[in-house]
Formats: sequence, structure tokens, C-alpha cells
Amino acid sequence: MRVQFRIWRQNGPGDANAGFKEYPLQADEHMSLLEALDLLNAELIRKGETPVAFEHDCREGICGACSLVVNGVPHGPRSATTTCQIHMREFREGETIVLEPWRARPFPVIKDLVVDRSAFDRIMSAGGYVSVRAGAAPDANAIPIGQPTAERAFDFAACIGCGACVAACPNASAMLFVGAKVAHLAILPQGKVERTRRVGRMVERMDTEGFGGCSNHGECEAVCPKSISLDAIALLNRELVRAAVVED
Amino acid sequence: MTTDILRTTIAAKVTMALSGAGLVLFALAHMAGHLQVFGGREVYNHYAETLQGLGAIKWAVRAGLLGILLVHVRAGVLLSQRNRAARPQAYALRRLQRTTTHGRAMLLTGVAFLAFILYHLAHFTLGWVHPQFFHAVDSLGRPDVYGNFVRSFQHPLITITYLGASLAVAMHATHATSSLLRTLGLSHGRFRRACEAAGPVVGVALLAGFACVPLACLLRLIQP
Amino acid sequence: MQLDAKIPAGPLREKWDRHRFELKLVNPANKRRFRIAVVGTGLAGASAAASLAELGYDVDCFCIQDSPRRAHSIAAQGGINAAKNYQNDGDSIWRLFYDTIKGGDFRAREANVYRLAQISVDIIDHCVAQGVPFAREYGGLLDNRSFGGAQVSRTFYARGQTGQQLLLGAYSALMRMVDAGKVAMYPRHEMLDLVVIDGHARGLVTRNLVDGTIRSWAADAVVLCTGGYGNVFYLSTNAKASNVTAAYRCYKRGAGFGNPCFTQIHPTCIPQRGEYQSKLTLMSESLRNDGRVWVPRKPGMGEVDPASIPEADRYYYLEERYPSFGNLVPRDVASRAAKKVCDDGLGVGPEVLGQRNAVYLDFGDSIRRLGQDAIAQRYGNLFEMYERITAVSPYKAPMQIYPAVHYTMGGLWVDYNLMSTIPGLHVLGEANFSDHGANRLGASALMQGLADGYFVIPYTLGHFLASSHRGKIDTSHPEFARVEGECRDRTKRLLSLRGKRPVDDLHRELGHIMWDHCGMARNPEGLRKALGLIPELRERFWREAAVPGAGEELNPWLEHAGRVADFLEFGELMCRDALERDESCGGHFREDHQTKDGEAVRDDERFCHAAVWEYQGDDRPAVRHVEPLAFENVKLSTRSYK
Repeated sequence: MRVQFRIWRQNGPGDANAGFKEYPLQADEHMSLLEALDLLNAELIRKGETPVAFEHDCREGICGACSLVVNGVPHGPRSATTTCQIHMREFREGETIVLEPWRARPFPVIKDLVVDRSAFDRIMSAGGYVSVRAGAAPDANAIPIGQPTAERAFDFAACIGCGACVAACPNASAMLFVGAKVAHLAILPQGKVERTRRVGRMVERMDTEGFGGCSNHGECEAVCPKSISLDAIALLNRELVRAAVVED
Repeated sequence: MTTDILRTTIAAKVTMALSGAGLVLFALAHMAGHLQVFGGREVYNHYAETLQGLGAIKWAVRAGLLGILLVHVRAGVLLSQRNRAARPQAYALRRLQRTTTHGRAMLLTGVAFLAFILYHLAHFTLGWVHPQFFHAVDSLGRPDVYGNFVRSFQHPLITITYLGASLAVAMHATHATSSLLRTLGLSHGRFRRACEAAGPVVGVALLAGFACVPLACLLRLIQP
Repeated sequence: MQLDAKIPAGPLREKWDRHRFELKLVNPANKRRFRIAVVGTGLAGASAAASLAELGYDVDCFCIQDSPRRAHSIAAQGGINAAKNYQNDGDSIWRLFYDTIKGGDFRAREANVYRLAQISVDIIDHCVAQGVPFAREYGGLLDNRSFGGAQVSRTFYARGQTGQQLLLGAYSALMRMVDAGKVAMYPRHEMLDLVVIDGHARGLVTRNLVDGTIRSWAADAVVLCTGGYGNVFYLSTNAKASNVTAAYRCYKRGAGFGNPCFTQIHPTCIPQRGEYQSKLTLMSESLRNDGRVWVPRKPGMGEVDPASIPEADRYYYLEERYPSFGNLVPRDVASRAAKKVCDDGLGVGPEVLGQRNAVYLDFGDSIRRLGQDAIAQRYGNLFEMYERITAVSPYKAPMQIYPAVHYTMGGLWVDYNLMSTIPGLHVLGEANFSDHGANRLGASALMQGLADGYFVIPYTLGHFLASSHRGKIDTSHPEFARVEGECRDRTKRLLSLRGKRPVDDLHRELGHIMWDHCGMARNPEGLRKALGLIPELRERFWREAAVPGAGEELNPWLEHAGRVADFLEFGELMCRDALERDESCGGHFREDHQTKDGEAVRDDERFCHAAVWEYQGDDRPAVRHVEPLAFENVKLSTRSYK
């Protein structure tokens, strides 16, 4: 099949000449979108042109590295699916496929379609953990956790930290990402001990990084490749309110 | 506590939600008051006189409402400035998946409604719009609020203005109600559907409740 | 090369306890005087960096991804073994030890494996305390499943994302130590070389992948946790960035490389669709519990609709050849059987380079027997994943599967303390050679990575630091400048490659050579052929490759070129190891050492040892050393799954 790529090219963070470039490509419908980009890059290399930088690693939808806005939707046309699992059969013959990087102030573009998401790591280091030293844990079955509770915690723990929620949010808010971790740990007994400190510090860090606030548009939930529910945001809000009124 | 929770954006959102909740409740109460116009001149003028007779309580409520409104607007302005700053470069192409027109128009409907409030105050509280109707009295010598009300809305332009404002407030409250329930941490798990339904219910109620009065006057279903 | 495994004396059960008592300790106040470099942030690296920092050491931690959370441990699906015996079904530390030794076809060290089984129980405790949401029973206690043909249920799991949840647990511990100021995290940094001074590992050289800065880091010890080298085959289930470079550079600085030919081929992966394919995706082994594997009995039926092939014309080759284990034979056996039928022309699926390399995994019978709902409940998410990739629903047509390279048991040789032959260089996780012998059991990789990082290295590294009195050095030592200079030259040389061929092409070519001659089945003739082809390809790489871009920017093609250059040398070492190991064992199947029925034949007389390769320079062949394996507690037996 023949497609036309329209790709954002940017040479470094402050590139004044950044903009879209068009590339025609003869692809196979069974290729993944990233394999089509591999093919395009191979052609560009053979022609002595600069290939397109994009982020990817596991290519099986779990590492969270891939991060393309495909035709105006973070991670592209298929719901609950990462960019790396989009195949060319999702597109029409002759279609123009527009590729942009995640756009948010806290995610500056490094090159082409690659952005810096280290803000997420800084938020996690502010409290996305249970403070337990190796060797200090009681027996794993010492605290029973109801099966539905464990499953609910898992639903939030499934976050892959890709940043699509930020990319999709009209406000570039990171509330779904932060909420997923806060909810995961607030639901489990092991995480409850530090819940007050955790939510305050993580939200403060989120604000410092420059993410926007939540306006409840639900765009994050719609594009999340792991289908993390907006409940994460409700629980994050609840945890923060709780932290403001309850003394530990 | 090492962090100042009250300075976070979520705290600002909670402020917005709480003040918004107050405003939604006021809007519903206000709407219920207006619906008494269908009870006729006697009922309505009595209601108006009772409200006017509250004296200090009236002023306290007015001051409170003004305060809530200012808090709401201030938080809204700060948050939307922040939200805009969070994405300095817009997407060339962005296909939104989930958001609604009223969700996207919050700032617009908010500002429009704010302008309307000023007009509304000038109209019914200060009497600048139709002084001749405003200063009329009824047979018992009370201010004829009913007459002012009904005559005003027989004027198509005024009715259209009010219909527009009803739509704006309904749109605003539709998104706001569901949104504030999430911001207050209530909308999750088995409560989520109810919370998400609450917005449209409140919105439709406000639209119907507010719009039916001027429409009834315009269509001469209510006579002065 | 001295290969002293430093296995503690005494009965197997007491070795680790005794050893822990005998290990020297570092005074708590002195720990912060030591700086440790941890390379890699998978299960082993993240857990090691976190637990060393918890003890008070200052840790510099490096990873090539944009965030430590993205290391490829994240993709492990199945689960993690632990001898908890929560199911009361007869499991014990001894049984886990025995199963692992036997599963590894008696090519691993008894003492290491026993320690691994002992520690397995602590790992589960720790991960639960971190908030890892393992699957639970309705009573609130942890659930287990039987995995990889084990006869007890000892596998803990978190849906099909156990690796992700465990890695996020380790990552959270790491981030906690970053917050505490004890770990300095350097993402997007690639280790280019090890700095060895007076025979000790004293630091490393990295390239900052964003701006290209090449710089040195001094350390009192280096902990290498850089994973496996499956990508030498180009197509594997590894992440695209997984590579051998850090380990191979250490090998070139004098670290012995153990059993490089031991690779694991996972039997149930989605087959290659076309030559453009960039990686293979694993489907959980659990599918074999209810799926029946077959191919058409007659060749040339690859394109025929499977539904139209009558029962009599279907060859259920696993069930016919292995009546007692059937579709549940171990990974290596299932993989070889699939290869054999495809090589015999019975394969199905897309034709790539003239052969159809896929077999059917058919759920038709199970769906008829148990109903679609029951199957959906067990495998719904896997079926969805399969359909997403292939656009075919396994409810309607049989899955197509084929084996793919998945894990590498070989790695840098380490002693009982996880230290390589270079003092100060410790190697953890898949990057070392230690615990899985010639074949790894399912759900054991996660166990080993975390055991090494959380519960072994914190003890043994302290002993090393306390017992080796060496002066402080910093990066002003001339050796740093020298190694840095070598790295710069090498980078420059790569950047000067202005040929016509993308590096990906050449990498694919290497992959074909490795897969054809050093893959699931090997023979001396093929290996000798590969040993001729690889140097020739390597030479062409340096002549024909095109490396675009500059060195002072984000340049993924430069990174890839450096890694492929190392694979092109390392592949040769693998083939030599495979040729010299003149027996079949575990994942190393030599066609010249098989029974009449095609089963592997070990040669315990000559090869009951680990082969350890010592680098001699680019112009001289590496030297093979041997660490004999003593089996004092288990009897060497023949694996049989008939």
C-alpha cells in the first residue's frame, strides 16, 4: 500500500526551522506503523538524508517508550493500544498519516518525535513508592488483601508511564498518571501508611514540573493504552482532600 | 507535613468545585423561585416581598454569593492560565475523542454568564433597564415584580438574551456538576455513573426551569 | 585466567548462611565513602541500586532508556517462582533447587541454584510489601499457578504482566533512593567501556545519548546488570535496544564470558510475517495447556484453510512423539520439534525467504469441550493480543506460532559472590551466566534478577569492599583519559561510515547466519560455516554501513551501529563455544549428538563444566577455560519427557 507520511522534524529543543515534512512510502499492510518508519528511515539513509528519530523499545506495548500522536490522536487510531502495536492495515490506501510528538511544556522535544519525559521520574521519586528496605518485609501472606481490592489496585498499577494522558489532555495535565500511582498505593494496605505524605509531595512535584490541571474532559482515559480509568483522578483528588483534613 | 497542600493546583480545583457547588445550588434555588411566576401575581409578588424583607440576611447572602463568585472566578482564571501555559505549542492536528462542547466551552460560558449577571442585576435588582416597569406597584402597594417580570419578557430581545443566558448556565453547570463531583473525589467506582449523570440532569433542569419562564411570557401564556 | 568459584564449604543447605557470617562487613559510617556504579535498571539493576543505596553506599546508576522503568524486564509475562509451598502441594526449597538444576540440564552450579531457591521466598515477601499487586484468592491470600510444566504450583503472578509489576516495584525502590539523594540516576546514558586499573574495575565510560558527551565515572565497584544478548539473532523477543555491548566491552577488558552458546528459544511466539519484521512477540506458554499443536501431514499445504483439513490429515506431532507430556513438553523440546516439521516442509503461515515457518496452535477442541466463555476467561487477553498483531481471531482459526529467541543463559562468568574475573566487576541477572545452566525454566528469570539485586549483592559487595584495601582514585587517573580516548575514536570511526547500507540490514544478515547455524539446532559443519561468514560480514560492515548524523546529538543510528559492531564480534564467540561444546544439553542442541528419536544426548564425561572464554586481542582467538561442575547432591540423569 502507498501512504504519505507528514512528519514533524525538529533538530533539537530550540530549532527555529522545525516543521512538517512529507514522505511518500510504499508499505505492507501487515507492517506495524513503526516498521513502516523503519523502512522509511532505511530509504532515507540510503539516500543520504537524515532519518526520523522516534522513541520505541519493546514493541509489544508494555515498556511505554513509543509516543507518537498519529493523525491527531496520541497512540493512534486503535483504543487501548500503544503506537508500536498499530499496523498499517489501520490506514487507507493513499492516506496521509500525520505524526507529531507529545506536546507539553514539561515534555520538551529532544529531536523530531522524541520528547523528554523525565518529569514523570521526578514525580515518582517524590513519593510513588512504599518505604520498605530489602529484608524488612513480613511474610507475604501476613496481610490478606481481598481479591477485588488487589484487582482494583492492579487496574491502576498497570500504568506504563508513556505520557499519552498528558499528550491528549487539552490542559497537558498529568493527573491520570499521578492518580494511577496514588490510587494503586492508597488502595493497598502496604501503601496506606504513607498516603498523606505521598499525595502531597507527588502533587506538589507535578505542579512544579508545569503540568496543567484537570478539567475533566476525559481525553486521557480515551487514549490510555492501558485503559486506566478516570477514577484514578477522583481518587487522587480524594487523597489530597483527605491529606488536607486528616492528621496522621 | 512537608508540603503545602493548600497551594497545589488540586486545592485550587477543590476551591473551584466547592464554590461552584454553591453557585449551582443557588442557581437551582433561584430557578425554583422564578417558577413561582406561574402561580400568578399574588404568589410571585408575595415571594419577592418576603425576600426583600429579609434585610440583613439578604445582604449577608448577597455578600456571600459575591464572595463565592469572586473565589470561583479567580480560581478559574488562575487555572486556565496555567493550563494554557502547559502547552505552549499547539498540535497541528488534534482529534479529540471524548470531550464535549460544553466541556470545552467552560471559559466562554462562564464569561458570557458573568456578563449576563451584570445585565440581570441592572434589569431586576437595580431597575435600570425598564424603570417604568420596575417602579410600578400592585394593588396591595407592593412593588409589582410580577408585572415587571412578565412585561419585560414580552420583549423578544430581552427574552432571547435570557434564553441565551439559560443555555450558557445550563452548559456550564452540566460539565461543572459532574466535574466537581470528581474533583471532590466522589466520582469513582460504583458512584461514577451516577455522578456523571448528575451533570446532564442539573443542566437540563436549569435550562428547562430558566427558559420556560421568559418563553411563557413571550408566547403570552402568562399575561401581565 | 583463575576460575575460583569461591563456593563456601559445608553442606549445601548451610552454605549461604555460613557464607553470610563469614563475609566481612563495612562499618555503617564508612559505607557512604564508597561509590558504586550500577549499569542497567532492569530487575537486577534497579533492585541492586536500591538495596545498595539503602545500606548507605553512594550509587551512580545508568540506563540507556529515557527512564529506568522501561528496562526489558518489564515485558516478562508469566510469573515468578518461589518455594513458599503456600499450596501445600509438596513444594520445598529442595524441590525448587532440584527442578532448576534438572531443568538446566545439569550445567549450573549446585550452590548458586540452592541459594536462589532459598532466597526465592524472601523476594515474594519484599515485593508484596512494596505494593506489587499479585493475584489473590478470594480469601485474600496469594494465588499460585503451575507454570512451565512444573508439577507444583509455585508461580506467583500478576495477570500477564508480572515482569512489569515487579520492575515497577524495583523502580519505585530506586526512585525512593533517588529522592533520598543516595542514588544519582543517569538515564539515556550508555556504558561504552570499563576502566580497569591495576587489575581492578575502577569505573566506566559512558556516552550521554542526548548530547553525545563521552565521560568517565570513577567507582569503587561496578555492578553490571545489562541483560541478555538475544538480539544477536536480530529477531528475538528482546526489546530493540537490548544489546551485548556493556558485557562484551567488559569481556574485552578481561572478564571471562561463560557459556555464550546457551540461548533459550521460546516455543510460542507469533511467527515472522515478512522480511521487514523488526521483532517477535511472545505468547504465554500457558496457551499450550489447552491448545493442540499440529501441522498438515502432507507438505505443500501451507496455504490451505486449516478448517478444511480433515482430522486424519493433521499431524499432532508433539502428542504423537511425546505421549506422556504431549503439548506440554519443555520449551527446548517443543521448539526443536516445531523447527523439524517446518524444515520438513510441513510448515504453515506466511512464506518468508522460501519457507513457511509456523505451526498451528489449535483451540478448536478446547472450545468445543469447555465452551468459548471458559477459553475466553483463561486466554481472553492473549487472544486479543494475538488478534491485534495478526488480525486473525484465535476463536475462529487456529493460532500460528513459531519459536523465537527469548533468553540467554550464557553471560559473564561470576563466582559465588557474583564477581567476574575482574575484581570489582560484579554481574547480575541475565547478564551473568550463573543459575540456569543450559536451559532456564519458566518464571525463573524474574526470580534470579531480584535475588541477585535485593539479597545477594548487598552482602557480597560489602565483603569485597571491606576486604580489598585500595586507595581512592578519581577520573583524573590517566587510564580514564586513555579509555575515554578509545571510546571517542571508536565513535568517530562509526560516524565515518558513509556507505550505502543501513546498519539494520547488516544486523538482519547477522541474524540469519546466527539463526541458521547457531539457533535451535546446531551442527559442526554449520557452525564452521558461520565462523567463516561472520568475519566476512564484519568486514563488510566496516566497509558498507551507513551511519547518519553527528556524535553530539541524539543519534539512535550511531547507538545501533556500535551495538551491531559488538554483536558481529560476539556472534563469532557464540559459534565457537557452540562448536567446542561437543554435546547436546538444554538449549544447546547438537544434531550430531542425539538419540534415534531426536532427543539430546549429554556428554557428562567431557562437558560437565562451564566453558569460560578469555579475550586475547582482536587478532588472536579467545582461549577457552573450564570451570568443572561438581554434583554432590543430585544425581545426573537424562531428561525424558516421553
